[in-house]
Amino acid sequence: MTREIDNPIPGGERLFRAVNSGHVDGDTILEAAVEVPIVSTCREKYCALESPILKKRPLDTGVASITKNTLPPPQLIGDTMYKFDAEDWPEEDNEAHAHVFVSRLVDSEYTRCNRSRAAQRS
Amino acid sequence: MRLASIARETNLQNPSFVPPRAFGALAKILDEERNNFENKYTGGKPIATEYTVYSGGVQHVFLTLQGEPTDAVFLTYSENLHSADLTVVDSNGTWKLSGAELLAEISVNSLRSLSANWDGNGSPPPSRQSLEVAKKALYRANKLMLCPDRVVADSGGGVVLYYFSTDKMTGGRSSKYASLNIGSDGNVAAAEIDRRTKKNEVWEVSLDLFDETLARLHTFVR
Repeated sequence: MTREIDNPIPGGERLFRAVNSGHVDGDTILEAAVEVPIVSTCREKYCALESPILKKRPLDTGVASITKNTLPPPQLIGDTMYKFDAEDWPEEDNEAHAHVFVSRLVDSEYTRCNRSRAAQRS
Repeated sequence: MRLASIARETNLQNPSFVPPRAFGALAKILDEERNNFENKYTGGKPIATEYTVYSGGVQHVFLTLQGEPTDAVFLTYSENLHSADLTVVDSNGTWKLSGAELLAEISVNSLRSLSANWDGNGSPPPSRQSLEVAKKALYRANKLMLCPDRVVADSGGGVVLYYFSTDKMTGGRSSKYASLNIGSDGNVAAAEIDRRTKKNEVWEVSLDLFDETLARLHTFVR
């Protein structure tokens, strides 16, 4: 049974994600490591490095972390403002699961961006 | 025999251009192959005959094995022209391939071997379309001596070729990098990222513009 949703995620709580070694550039990771606009992560509060995602990761991966406080600031692309946010998203086989996602400003409200159809198919 | 099996998968006849760095990788493979021959026939003692012929500015290196005239590796290259042509002959037949094609094949083969969840996040392996396009891009890159610094799968079933500047910022990250992003559907986009000025550019790339795009990305980080 999935636990209750626990929002908001505190700004300083770390969100973990497995990262392949080929996607590391110094102290940062490359875009190829994440699938914008929705990126799966594991909340520190619920996984403590023991979530299914992190436990089952392949040997040539490491674990990267980010917090809500260190997400990129809102950005104006073309005529549209976009922002990053994080949201609790527990799943049955991974109760630590959370999303980092992009939303865009439409009619004075931010609307969550969805994956493209091509990405959903794959 | 690894090299022969790679050669067997390809069917190329024309020599082409290989950058010096890539040529180093090719030479290493040839060394391994030569050791395999020697181990096979003499228990490790060097029996290969090697002779070099210079012709029209091109250096030809022939490695043959005494008593086994049908087993040979011929490497023809020119350090100045950065060209390479490889011929493998063994008891199963003869295969020719260019260095550029060989290197593209090796890079793509390593991506082809990825299985689902290769990154620990449940990501799919690179799609067949993305691998085919990546192979074409890598072939062009090798041929033009614009070998990418890194070739990786992305989390959406695509392939990315990266070029990094040697100028590093705090934390070791590159101050500039450029990428050719091949989606799982085979569509291609290019990106130039400047972390110092924060000026980024992203654009779609048609398959007939690989040469110009690769040259631009390579120049951007240099």
